[in-house]
Amino acid sequence: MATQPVMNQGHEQRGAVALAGIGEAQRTVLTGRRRLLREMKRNRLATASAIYLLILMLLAAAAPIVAPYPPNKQSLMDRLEGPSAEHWLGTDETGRDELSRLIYGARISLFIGVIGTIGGVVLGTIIGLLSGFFGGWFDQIAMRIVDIMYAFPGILLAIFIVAVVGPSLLNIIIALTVWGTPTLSRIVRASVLSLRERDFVDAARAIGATRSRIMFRHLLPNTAAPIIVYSTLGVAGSLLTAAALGFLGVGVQPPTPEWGAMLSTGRNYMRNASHLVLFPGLMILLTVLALNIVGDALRDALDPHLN
Amino acid sequence: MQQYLIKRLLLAIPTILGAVTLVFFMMRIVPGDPVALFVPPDTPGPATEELKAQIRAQYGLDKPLHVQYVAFVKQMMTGDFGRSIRQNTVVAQDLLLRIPNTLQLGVLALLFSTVLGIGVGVISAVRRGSWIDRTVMVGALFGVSVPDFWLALILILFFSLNLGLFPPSGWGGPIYTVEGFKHIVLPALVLGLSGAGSLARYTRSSMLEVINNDYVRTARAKGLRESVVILQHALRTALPTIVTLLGLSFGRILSGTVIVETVFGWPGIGRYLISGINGRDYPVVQATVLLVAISFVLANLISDLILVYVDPRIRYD
Repeated sequence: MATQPVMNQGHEQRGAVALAGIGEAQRTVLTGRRRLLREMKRNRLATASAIYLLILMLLAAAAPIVAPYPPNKQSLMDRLEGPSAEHWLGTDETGRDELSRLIYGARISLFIGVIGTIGGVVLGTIIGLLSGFFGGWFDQIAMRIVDIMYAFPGILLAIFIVAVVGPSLLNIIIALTVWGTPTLSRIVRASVLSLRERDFVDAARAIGATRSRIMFRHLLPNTAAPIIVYSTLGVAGSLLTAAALGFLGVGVQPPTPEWGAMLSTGRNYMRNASHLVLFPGLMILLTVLALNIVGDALRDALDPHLN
Repeated sequence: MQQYLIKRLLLAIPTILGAVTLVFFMMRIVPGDPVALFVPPDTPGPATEELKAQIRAQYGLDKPLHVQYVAFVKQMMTGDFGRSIRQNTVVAQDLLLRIPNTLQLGVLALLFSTVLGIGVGVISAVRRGSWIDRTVMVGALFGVSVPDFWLALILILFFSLNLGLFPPSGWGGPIYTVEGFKHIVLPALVLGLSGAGSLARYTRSSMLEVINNDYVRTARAKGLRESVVILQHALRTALPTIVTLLGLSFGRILSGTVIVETVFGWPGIGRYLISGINGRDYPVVQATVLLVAISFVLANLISDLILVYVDPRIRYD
């Protein structure tokens, strides 16, 4: 540094501070990874939940190989049978194997949960970043729209969207994206508001970084922790919402196996075939519980301030 | 304090107007002719075009968008929600019949949720690290993760179909009668349990923030009974957060009624909404959605006003 011309030294220093911002984000990620591994080792419940989710995803991916029967293969002679050697979790009202439908249902439920959350995360992050960084009229309008969306409690907005545009896989994902966007946008905006006054942002600006570079290269990595935490919890919420939509008859339509829809049909045969209600609900509960436990562990590891 | 109250009131109005606007545009961005949303699905083909023209005139759908919007806002604000396509009844009257049933269910669920959630949250915080704390937190996590609709079915299976203690569905009369109370117990339990889990976690968190503060230590050092220390000193300070959470709990309960009323056949606005959706009865759908949204905004306003009373710092800001 001492051998550089004097006029370049300030630039070097500002560059170093700007890089420090990126470095800080990278160090945060590295430290976060170490804290995460330490947290997972300490928290056996979180580790077990993560393993459960991994197994579920593998089963879902390998459904055509793992499932004992095709999901829509009917056998009216075997309808409404309880668990047996041929059908480990029994059969439904048209004789379809319940275990196979649950495995294929995992595909649908996880797919909707993950994609619906990704949509909300992407849109929410962009809105939150722009809102927090630019402020002004964009921020006012965006946050007023978020307030309006918050006026529709729980799954009401998702139900209304699907009711209006119709129940298809794409429309459910759109509904979940719209449902999940307000929370992420508020979280990211709050994070950006606290970060944008930091030195590394000033330094990046001073060395001529464009606004988009500052937002995506400097600010976004430093907001990764809350995004990761709420994404995990968001998948749990999306999965539960999608199952609720399926249960109410405005989600995935039969004969596609989806846990909520299976529960809705099973309800009609509850008296004589309680397994049709027990197993789909148990799958939803265990999966959502596992996601919540992992999300809590991520929060403890990556950003204890969020707790 | 007056300024705060006026500010909150002024914030609620554009939010309500925004919700009305959102519903208006949602019904009109549907691909295809929005009039089709108002035509009963079983209308025979040749009659459909004539009916569409009639509906266009009736709902003003042939007028420019800004004229439609003003008329829509006026109608919503004056409670003119039109007629049900399916039953040809006045939607506002249908809602008035059902609101008391949902209110009864909601209030009972909120009461249950509050007592259980705050109670176990406080106990958990006071006994932090003990088996009570761990059990409560695992229970709370279950409460937050369990699907309402599944819990409802399991309770019906166990308490109604197996034990015969409570009826599986329906409305049994006013809540102060034995039959009426028996019919409301299970739905209120389902609604309340889901909210209790979340409330317990946040109450514990809020209490832990205050329980180690100096003034709590001072209260103990003065020789006050532990119950007085916890309830009058620690909980009092955690109350503002809890009041805010109660407002959010109300929203969760409101949206939960959609599922619970459907499962239990409870004649409230949640079940009315689902029957409207399944019957493609859009005047019913838009009116119910708006009513729930406006109720939620007002509930949050009330919880903010209670907050002003509970937290003197807001009064003197």
